[in-house]
Amino acid sequence: MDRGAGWFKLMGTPKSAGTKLLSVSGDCARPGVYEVAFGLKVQDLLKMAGGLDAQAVQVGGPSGTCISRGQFERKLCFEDLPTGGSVIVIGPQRDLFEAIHNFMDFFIEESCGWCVPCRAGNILLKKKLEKITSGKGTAKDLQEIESWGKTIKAMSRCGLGQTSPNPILTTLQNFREMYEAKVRNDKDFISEFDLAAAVKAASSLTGQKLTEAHHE
Amino acid sequence: MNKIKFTIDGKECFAEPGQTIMEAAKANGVYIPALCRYEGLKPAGSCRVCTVRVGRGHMAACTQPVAEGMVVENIVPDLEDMRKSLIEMLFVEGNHLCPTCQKSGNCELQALAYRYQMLVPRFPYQFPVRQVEPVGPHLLLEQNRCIQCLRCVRGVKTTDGKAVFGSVKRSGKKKIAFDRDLAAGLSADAAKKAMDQCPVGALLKKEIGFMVPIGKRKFDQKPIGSEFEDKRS
Amino acid sequence: MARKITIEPVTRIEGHGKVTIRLDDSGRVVQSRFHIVEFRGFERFVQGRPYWEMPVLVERLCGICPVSHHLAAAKAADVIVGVGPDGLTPTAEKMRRLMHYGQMFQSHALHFFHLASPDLLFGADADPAIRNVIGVALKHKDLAVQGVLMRKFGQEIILATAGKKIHGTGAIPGGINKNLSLEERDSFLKAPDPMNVDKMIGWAQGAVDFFKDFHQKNKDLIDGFAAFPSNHLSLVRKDGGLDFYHGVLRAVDADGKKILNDVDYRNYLDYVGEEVKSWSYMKFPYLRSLGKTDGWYRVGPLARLNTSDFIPTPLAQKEFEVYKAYTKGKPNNMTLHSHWARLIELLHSGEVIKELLLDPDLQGEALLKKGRKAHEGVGLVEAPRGTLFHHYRINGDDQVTMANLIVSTTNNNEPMNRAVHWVAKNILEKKPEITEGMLNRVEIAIRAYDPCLSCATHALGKMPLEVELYDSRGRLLDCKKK
Ligand code: SF4
Ligand code: SF4
Repeated sequence: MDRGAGWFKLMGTPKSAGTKLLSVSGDCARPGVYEVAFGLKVQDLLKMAGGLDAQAVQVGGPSGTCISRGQFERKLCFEDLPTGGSVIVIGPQRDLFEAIHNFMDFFIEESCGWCVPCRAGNILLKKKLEKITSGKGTAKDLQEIESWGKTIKAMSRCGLGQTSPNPILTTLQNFREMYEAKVRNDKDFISEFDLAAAVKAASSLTGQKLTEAHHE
Repeated sequence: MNKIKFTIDGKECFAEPGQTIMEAAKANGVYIPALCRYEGLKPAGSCRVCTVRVGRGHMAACTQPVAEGMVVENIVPDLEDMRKSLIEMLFVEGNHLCPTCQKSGNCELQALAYRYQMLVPRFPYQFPVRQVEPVGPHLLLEQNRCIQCLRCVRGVKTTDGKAVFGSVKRSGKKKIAFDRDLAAGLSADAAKKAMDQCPVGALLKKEIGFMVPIGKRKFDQKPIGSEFEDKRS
Repeated sequence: MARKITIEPVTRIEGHGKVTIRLDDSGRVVQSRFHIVEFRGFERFVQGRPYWEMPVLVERLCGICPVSHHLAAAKAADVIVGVGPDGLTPTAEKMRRLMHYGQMFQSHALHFFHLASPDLLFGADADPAIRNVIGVALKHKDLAVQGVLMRKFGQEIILATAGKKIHGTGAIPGGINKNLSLEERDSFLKAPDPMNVDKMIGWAQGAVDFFKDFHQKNKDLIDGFAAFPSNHLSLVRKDGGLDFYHGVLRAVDADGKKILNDVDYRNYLDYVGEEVKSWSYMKFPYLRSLGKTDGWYRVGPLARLNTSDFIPTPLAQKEFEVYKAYTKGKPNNMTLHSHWARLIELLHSGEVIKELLLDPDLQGEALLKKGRKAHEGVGLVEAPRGTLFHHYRINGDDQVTMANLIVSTTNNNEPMNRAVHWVAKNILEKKPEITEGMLNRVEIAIRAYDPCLSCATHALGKMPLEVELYDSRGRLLDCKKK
């Protein structure tokens, strides 16, 4: 403090002056709070925290950007990768989809439910993601998830909804291959309709078993 | 006269200072679709259907004040499609079986679905399990059809001004609740007014049912928004 | 070697029938069963719903004769709002009647011209390529056109009374939500040929004549096919006249003796029981006084003309007399005579529609009444396919807590089984092979009862069927699909 703003501004990048406190967590040897100059490369931060083998880094908390190994040269600053301070390291042993699911759960949990896109949209988005990760998705589902995410961002009332699709949208951008490996290219449509499940309530009401009466 | 000058989809409009985009649009004969807005109630900005674009930003027309020189985009394809998807979200989020719903033909959600020519929602139906709850002696709250517009929360008051309805829980579990004692005091007239305020078939004054025949219902002849759009053409 | 034959339509969800016939080692029929899948989900579905929704809700759950469900539920709701069953205003009651007879007219026209006439015109052994409604259209163009237009006429009546051709909202608890404007009335009375009521009555008379002529030439088939004695049940007007909308419950036995003597239908539970059998989704109703084994009965056109003493319109009454004379005044137990009875009812419906249209009460303004609230209501109507029962209970908040429906097809469950059994005995027994003609006869027997099953509404030859042949140890020997 006593060295003044001028000194502070010497550090960092033109638009992001000074230093930043970063909370590094996740799969690294030395998690904790680091004070670094703006403009630090993700790569260098990982080196400090002992997480160089990360498969992905989530910068800026759940609503931020998820970057892949190829992007570890990028810099932590407002011009490139803005962050409120959270950096989550996702190690190679992790299922990235699971991490994305968790982030979406976080948003669904945190949504106040006031406005439609955030309240209803995020739940639908997560279900779509589940469809894809369970291997029932098609190329069309990838297009849809992208467009639904954009709608939620544009139409939501507050910052939560406006950023909540980011875990999906940024991974879809930066880990496209991972999604593409999940979807089926041999089919345009896979039905999620389960006849037996759909008629279960009605059948149990009458005390009848569908298969029995049917094949007697 | 220091009227504010702005445009909606290229049409030159004028607003009084302090007017929201929605109010000014109405005064200028421009229709902006909306669902939670209700004349005389404080805007809630919850349905987001009235979202317009100004520059690269999106904002709810019902809460955003007009500023001098604003260039507002309203009826443009991508925005309209996003609005349509909000309508679809509301359909799949609850259980809307229009053909057996007494609000059919008088329902604003359904009217907007018609406006947007929604056939099948792009989203999968969620089929939530919800209940019908009696609200005092004259009203039923059909939770299956509630769209959380909060009009009842804002508009249904006891004679001494206390709010009967409130909103509880969060996220997808958010729902409308009410004070049993206050609800017990609602008169038949108040119940009818509450039903008329609700945009959908969620608040039902008892025994009205299908009293209005098909053909005589609010949107049978005049689709939603037509009162503005007819004037314009 | 014992065989088991299974005839199974492919459609599943909307309700479908399956026929199994077991033959013993010498090829004799030991057992035949007509299985019906019917999900009675509505009983749960309506729980908690406001009672005034019932007429609109329940008509959707069973979509083949929606107006009947609409009206039966409305009649039950009338009781709940304290005006039923005889207290409606004249305008309300007559508007509902018009709706109902309009539906009867369109349903009977559809059944005869589209579903039944191909069987009669071409016979069960004809090439399936012509034995369907397209075949009728090609060979008997006028008949096919009449069928289409009569159906349309009935639907226009429904539209004018219920607000929509299918699934309208017209009947509401305690009355109706609209009357008939003079323009609407005149569109039925005075429209240019053929879409006016006089032409419709003329065509209906023509259809009756057509059938009588056909009967003369094919007595063996019409009289002998799947004939068996049974009891018969329906509503009749208090004076014994035929009435589809309202009346008292009457049942007669195969000889015409009254076994249910004009009782108040609101007490139906005292008279009618329902038996559950493990092998069928559909219950088996029976008259309590006769017990489970002997108490089964037929409903529908055949039953109605057996229970009624007369028909209260002149042209239909004349035909009724001819029809009755054929069985010397005794109940008619011949399955294929249902077609004859149905056409007489078609004619009657046309006449009633005209009477109602000429009645100025339809332009009345008093549409609704209200009385002392009750918490339970029963409503019955005669649907095209037979007696339809609706029964609801509600709680103090107007929400339904219990619903019980006995639909016409359920009432005819045992008769359809008997008809299938007759075909098994008389057509399939001791035959080395199952031919398409034999399968068609099973279908014809079922279809005479006009069951409201999705499979049954396929034109003949289009009904998806599967036949499986089993030996005594249950091994599949043969499988035939059509
Ligand atoms: S509330 Fe509106 S949208 Fe929902 S079922 Fe009723 S008519 Fe349809
Ligand atoms: S009950 Fe009606 S008015 Fe109240 S929030 Fe629900 S939809 Fe809106």
